[in-house]
Amino acid sequence: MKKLLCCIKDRTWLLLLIGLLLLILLCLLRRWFYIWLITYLTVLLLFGLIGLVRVIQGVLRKKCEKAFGDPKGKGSEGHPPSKGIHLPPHTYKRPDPMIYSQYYLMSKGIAVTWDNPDIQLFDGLSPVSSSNVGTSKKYSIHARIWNGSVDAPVVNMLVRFYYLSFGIGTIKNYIGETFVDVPVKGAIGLPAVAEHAWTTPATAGHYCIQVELLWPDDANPDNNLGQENLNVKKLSSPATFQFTLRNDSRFERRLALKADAYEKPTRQPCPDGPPDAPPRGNIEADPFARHRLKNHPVPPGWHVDFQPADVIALGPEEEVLVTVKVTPPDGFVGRQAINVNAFDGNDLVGGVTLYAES
Amino acid sequence: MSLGPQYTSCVEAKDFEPLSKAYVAVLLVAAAGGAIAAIFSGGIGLLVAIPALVEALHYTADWMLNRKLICLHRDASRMCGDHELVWAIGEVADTEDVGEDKNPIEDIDNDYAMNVILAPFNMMAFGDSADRNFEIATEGVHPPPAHPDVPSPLPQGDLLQRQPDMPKFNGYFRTMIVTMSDQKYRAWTEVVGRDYGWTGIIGPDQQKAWADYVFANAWLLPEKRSVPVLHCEFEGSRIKDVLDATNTFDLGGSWCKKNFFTKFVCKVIQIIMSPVILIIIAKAWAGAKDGDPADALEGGGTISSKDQVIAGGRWAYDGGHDGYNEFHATRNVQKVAYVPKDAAGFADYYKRWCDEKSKVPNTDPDGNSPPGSTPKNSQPGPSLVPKQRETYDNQQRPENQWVLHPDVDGCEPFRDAGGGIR
Repeated sequence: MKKLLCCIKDRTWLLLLIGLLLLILLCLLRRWFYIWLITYLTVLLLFGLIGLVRVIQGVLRKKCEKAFGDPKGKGSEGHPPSKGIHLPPHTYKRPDPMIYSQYYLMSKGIAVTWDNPDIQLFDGLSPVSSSNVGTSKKYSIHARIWNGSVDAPVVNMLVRFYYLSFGIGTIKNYIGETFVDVPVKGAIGLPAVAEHAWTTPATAGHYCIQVELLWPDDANPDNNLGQENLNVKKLSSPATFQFTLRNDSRFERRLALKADAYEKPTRQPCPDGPPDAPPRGNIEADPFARHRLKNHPVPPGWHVDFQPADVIALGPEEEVLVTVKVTPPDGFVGRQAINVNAFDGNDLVGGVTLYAES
Repeated sequence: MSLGPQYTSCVEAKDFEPLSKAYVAVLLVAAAGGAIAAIFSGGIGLLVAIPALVEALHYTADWMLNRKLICLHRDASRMCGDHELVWAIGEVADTEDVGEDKNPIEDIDNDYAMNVILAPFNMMAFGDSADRNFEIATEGVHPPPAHPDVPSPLPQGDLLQRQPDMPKFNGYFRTMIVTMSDQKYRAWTEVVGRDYGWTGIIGPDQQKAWADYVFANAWLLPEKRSVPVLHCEFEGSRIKDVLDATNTFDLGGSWCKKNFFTKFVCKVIQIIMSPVILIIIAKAWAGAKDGDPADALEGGGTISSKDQVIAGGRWAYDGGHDGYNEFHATRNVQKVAYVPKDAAGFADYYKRWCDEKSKVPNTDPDGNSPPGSTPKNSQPGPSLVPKQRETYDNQQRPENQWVLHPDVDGCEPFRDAGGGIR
């Protein structure tokens, strides 16, 4: 029945036909349905009058507009109000400038590294690790910026640079800003690179770098914040790292610290690669399987301990110093990434990447 | 990738002919006379009335679709590469809904529009005189330079300027309200736009509304300004649909145009079938909805007063009114930000937009939008220039199919020994 009603509702001619048939039926059976016929005719008359008024009103409205308004092109006095117009996607284009954004990727169920592939520090022309910066020294921050749109470029996009003391939820310090043009996907010039000079603070320590993209009409504003939070320590069984965990909200939060061993894997060869290239993983099952958090636990034999605890309750803007002890299996040689992420429920609050190397 | 619909064609200035109002009037009189005669002749008068009405609609629709617009050709040095689309950057003054300022016959055109104040501009520099404001918008100064034939010094001034061989010229103006105390401005249609609503026959008195506004905001010193804008039209499909309907019995079109006899035969058939054609026209008229801004498709976006935009379209002169340049159809719109206010800064900004837009493939190499993205019957876009073609080819490659981030769902193209991507 519902289906039938929905089918009829947009077919004016069918509704008219039904109305007419009803009229004929009542007319033929007026001996028994006289009152119904009169009622029906009255309703028709009323609706007819309303329809007539609407037609006359429309004609008058047009006449009035023409009589009192400015002629087309000579002003807008007497014209109807300006309303927002909706443009369909074939006409209206919206770019998607983006950076490797840990918060966005984690919201998509993707494991992340805080060794941001899109943020690189340079000392002159040489790339340097952000975990190894001097005091009061001038560096250059380079941020790679991508565009997810195939038909909407960006010109003069604002890019802001910040530094934070090493940790999670720590206070942002403004470094500076610049403007950059970002071509569409596939065009020459992508990824665009935004550069800004940074003189490190006089206080020795580890610092995080944050890059924020600002574009008012962004197809996806969630992938505009990238962060580099990196620390490297020699393994001296165990390696001990320290960072500040801060609750940057106005409410008390219970922050859970979780460790994983995700490292950005190298990109797989494209399907049109050489004939002997390995196939691109189990794309059909889950195209992001290689990046799922559950597939990157701390390796067997490794132990990661948090002090004072792995779940910490913090009041608004309260902070605590967290010590992480990373113990490798006996005889380990090499370098192991340990990501420590802080969650409030399922929401990522922040994180750091620690490299333990022998 | 896609372009907005464009159903109209434009003609060169030398081929332009205005609408023959006399011809339309004769047809309409014949239609009305035939209809009246039909009352007294048992319907025989309809044999005149219906064909006359169909011919009036056919003539009007054909003129509006194919002969109303004069193609304008922008100086090559101001174009973005050799792209055929002309680009304009500015701030939306206000918008015009479907049917605004049109009489019932012009309602056949269900386009809608936005009016863009071209950047860079200083609203406070505009004064009481529309002519003076036009000089400021096109020449950057008032009075204009001694040689009016010299191209506008402003990167976009030429888009508003009168072009050679145009029949008449007025320019396109919208009324803005400037408050001198705080140096802010709003569109007249935002402050005191007349809204009849659904039920009211008599709308509010706009002059009274303006007087009330001035009284309530006297301390801000509100003043009216007539500001030159670039009128940017988005095309609806109604004219095209109606014209197609009037051509229903043209036997394929080309046969009818073969010679005098075939033309005559077709006319006779069309006259005989005109009642059917009239029904088809009515259906097409009612069914045309692509130009209706309320027809919100999924995706897209909303343009309102004060939005800063870059718009791309065909630059044309509208011969249906008092004469002005416009974008018709506007086929691409994007919001922009951080627009420099100084002339030199803006010139650089405009050039950079030009560079980026000239790399974008708006369609496939043949100028076609993907199936379903643009309404059927729309004309294809211009074919791709080399830079666009290069981007298009790159976009088809596997390494550019990523969605989240190239390092997450991208792939590494195979490079041959020479370092080239294979």
